[in-house]
Amino acid sequence: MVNPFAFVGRIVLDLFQTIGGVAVFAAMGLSHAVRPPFFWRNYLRHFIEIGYLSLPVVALTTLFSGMVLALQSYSGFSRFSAEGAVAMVVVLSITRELAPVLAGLMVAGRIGAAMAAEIGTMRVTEQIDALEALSTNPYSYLVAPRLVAGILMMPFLVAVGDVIGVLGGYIVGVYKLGFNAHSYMAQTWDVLEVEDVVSGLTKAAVYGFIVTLMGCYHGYRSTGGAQGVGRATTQAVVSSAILILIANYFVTELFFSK
Amino acid sequence: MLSIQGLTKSFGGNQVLRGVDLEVERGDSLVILGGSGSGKSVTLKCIMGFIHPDAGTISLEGENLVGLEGRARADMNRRVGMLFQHAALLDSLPVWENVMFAPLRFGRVSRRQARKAAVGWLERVGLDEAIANILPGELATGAQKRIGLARAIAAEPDLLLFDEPTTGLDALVGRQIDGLIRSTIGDLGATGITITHDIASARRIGDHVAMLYQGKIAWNGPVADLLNSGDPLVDQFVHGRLTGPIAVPSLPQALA
Repeated sequence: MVNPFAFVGRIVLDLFQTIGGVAVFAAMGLSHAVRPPFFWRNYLRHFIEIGYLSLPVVALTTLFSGMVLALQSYSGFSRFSAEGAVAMVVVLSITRELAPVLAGLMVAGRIGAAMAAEIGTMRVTEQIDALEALSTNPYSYLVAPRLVAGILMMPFLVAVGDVIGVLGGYIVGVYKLGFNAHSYMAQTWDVLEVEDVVSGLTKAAVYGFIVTLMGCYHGYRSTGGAQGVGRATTQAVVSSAILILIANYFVTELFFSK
Repeated sequence: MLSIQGLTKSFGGNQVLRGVDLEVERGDSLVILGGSGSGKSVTLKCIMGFIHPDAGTISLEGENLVGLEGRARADMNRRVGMLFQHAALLDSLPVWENVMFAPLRFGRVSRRQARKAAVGWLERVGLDEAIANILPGELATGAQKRIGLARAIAAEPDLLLFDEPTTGLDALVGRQIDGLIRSTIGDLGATGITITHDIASARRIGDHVAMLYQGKIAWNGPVADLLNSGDPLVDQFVHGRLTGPIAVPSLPQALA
């Protein structure tokens, strides 16, 4: 018979052990990002991987999100004659929430999974041991470039996503719903404040850190061959998605709690 | 000289190494034989610093190898070359960068010089310049092993470690790899340690052979004595007998 106290106790202990493990891993990765050696080619590779090659996915996601948002808000607001608020809702929703969260989730699926799979494969095929045998710290070579690329490139992706998402709302608003193009843009600029954009970009940096940390951590800790790498990949994506949604609340509270 | 004294290591309640003692003279090639789970890989990982032993000492030319961390470990590993069981080449780098990883890493050569040197090392292990720019994943296992060997010797180390070098290779390629290992140790004047359970390979590579059984060195002697050691453990292992002091898990009658 399972002792319920022992069962709960084990879960709590495992949870704290995991949190501690992730915290130490993150500290190791970040500390190697600020001290030599710097593997610049690896930094460049991950900057391109995250910041450039993820652009189509993020652009498509935010474009159609902006379009849907315009349609939905128009449909809802027309019930109480507030159609004029469509531009305001689109720009605030995109910059504050949708662009960073959707970009974060998309990058988690695309980059987080790939990082976990690549590092996991390196772990089970002894490539990480080989790095150490070649006098190279795996945190410097593998982890630090990915963390830095995630933190710096996600805000860039989200900035592009902001513009494209607003453009999506504009296209639907002007060409389908019949808004005047000039007044739509004027409303967009009138309501937008620096804080809206900055909060979204801050979220993006946090999500970039989360996605790359989870990808690296789960890949680095993977064991047990192909099955272990598959498990690490799943864990990286699921934990990234959950942590993004949790972090979203806290960063939002940081900026907008009055 | 590499010296290992009283090396012990447990994982949980399972004691894998129970006091391993070994000495290998510089320029000598030692092969550690043993079955699965005998502690061969753990011994090698303790030498490389991947695993910290519970007790015992390991020294290379009088310098301690146990408990080294950070810069000290990195400096020591520059004196050690290792060929991994599955080569463990870095997938994202072309062949020549794999071979010259350590010299490039420590800025001893320019990229142009490194590529030229890599071609020299590749030729030394019987590979052509044409593969220098290819990614390792596109090559056969035998070629990957050769590249792994080229990488291990490119830094001209004092100690060379070979982890099951012929695993996954056919007999002919395995024989070539054995010959390369043997000649490389001789050419560099390095100390060589190979772990394997392949008797034919052990006889081609080694000057001396040590038999590891249940975490201890059960026999240690010149390779010429391997087939007639007089030791019942070694005798059973090298001749592949199912009966003897080494317990062999029994199979169902239909499969035996």
